Amino acid sequence: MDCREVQKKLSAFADGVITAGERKQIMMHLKKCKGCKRALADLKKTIRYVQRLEEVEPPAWFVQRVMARVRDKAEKKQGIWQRFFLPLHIKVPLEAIALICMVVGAVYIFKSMEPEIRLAKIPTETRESAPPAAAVPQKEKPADVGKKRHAPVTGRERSRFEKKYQVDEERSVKVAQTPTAQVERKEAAPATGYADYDTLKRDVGSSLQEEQPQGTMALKAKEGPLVVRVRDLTAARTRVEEIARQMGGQTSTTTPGKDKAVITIVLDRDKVYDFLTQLRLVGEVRDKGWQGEQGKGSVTLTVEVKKLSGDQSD
Amino acid sequence: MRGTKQSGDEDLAFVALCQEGDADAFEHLVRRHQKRMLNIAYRVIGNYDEACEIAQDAFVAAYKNIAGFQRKAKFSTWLYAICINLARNRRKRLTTRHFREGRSLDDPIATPDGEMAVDPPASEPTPLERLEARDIRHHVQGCINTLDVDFKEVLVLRDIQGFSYEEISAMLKVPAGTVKSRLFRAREGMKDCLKKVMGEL
Repeated sequence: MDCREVQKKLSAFADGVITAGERKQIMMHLKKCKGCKRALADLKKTIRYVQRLEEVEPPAWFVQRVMARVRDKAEKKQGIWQRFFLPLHIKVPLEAIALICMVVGAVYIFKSMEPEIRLAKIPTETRESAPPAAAVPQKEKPADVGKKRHAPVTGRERSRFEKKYQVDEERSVKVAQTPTAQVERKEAAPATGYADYDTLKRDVGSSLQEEQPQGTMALKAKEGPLVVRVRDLTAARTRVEEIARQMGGQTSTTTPGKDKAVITIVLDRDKVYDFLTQLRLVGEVRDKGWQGEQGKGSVTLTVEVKKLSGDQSD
Repeated sequence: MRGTKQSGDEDLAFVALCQEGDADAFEHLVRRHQKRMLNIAYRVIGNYDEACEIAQDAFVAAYKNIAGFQRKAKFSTWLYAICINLARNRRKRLTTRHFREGRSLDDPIATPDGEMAVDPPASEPTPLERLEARDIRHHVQGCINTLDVDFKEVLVLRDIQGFSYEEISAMLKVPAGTVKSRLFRAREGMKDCLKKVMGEL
């Protein structure tokens, strides 16, 4: 046994955990080898140093604290919650899976509902967006106009404006003069009957402007007959023909349908107004217009007499 | 051998009560083993507060798993094995932290009464000083701290706690031969370290 082998076993030798044969061999070697003897002495010293380390005392609170934690755990163990709910190492993954399922489910539901949401959104969006769009011109336009109107007027511009205003005034004076002239002209020729027609035309024009949908005498319309709606077709037809004949007109009647009669009347121009007035007494005259020829002495009117049905809109 | 060696039978009566859910019975076991648990942890980890934490955790873990204790080994062996494992894990975490933080040779070494400055081996022989017992203990703990955890464990369990090779083998779950060889290397390391630190044994 050489020194290296001996020194390797000195640790076990010191503890006495070595076979009797090895023990004998080492003892023999140590007697001869000073180096190994010193190594054994150092080892024993080292062990003694380590063994001499003092023991530390546990703190006074040690047992209490341990038992507090133990009892806390024991209560939890016996607690109903512990039995109801799974331990954390199972619970946490389960909760994670549940969360994932919820998220996936929510996304799926949202996706399946998305088209409906989009459809449901459209009206609200238009409803919401429309008023501002309409409001913008209402609000802004007057403001703009107002601005333009109330724009500061410089001296030069004012003089120009005044000039223009003067010119405008002159023009309006001229315009104002023309009707008087016309009136004078009318008064100059009262017997011709033109004046009446002109007045009628002017009246119709004004009424057209004022109440367009109900303008009963749409004489300006170039085409379409005068439509008279009545309850009794035959009586009305006879009446219209009678009126026309009383006024010295000529009539010719056709009956294209069961509920309709077309009367073509050739009438003196000055009698048209009276005729229309009379016609309004017969039935409801609609402004489909009339076919009039502005000949010398007579006008051709086409009067369509229609029987009133339940539906009046035709 | 140091400390009071517990006979397995005494412990087992309380263990049986604990297994039936009697927490008070566990208190007896804590009182009986607290000092040894703390000292094992303390010598392995080298820090008193850390050792207290480890010992507490070890007792709580033991109570939690007491149902799994099968009477193959002594209760104390089983209990100290838990403590050794926790200390090892804590030690690993601490060394990883030290490794991450970077460690200098001049960094102080943790000792029972605080930290001790490392005294690197001088090229010239240090003048002989009369070291007080307290200083020697600091050096010894400092040297234990320098050992690898495998060697440290066997050294603490054998030379400080006085466990037999068989008990240590059971606690660490390594063969007795491994305990022997580890102990040899641990003692050699200690010897070299103490020689360097103190100049002479």
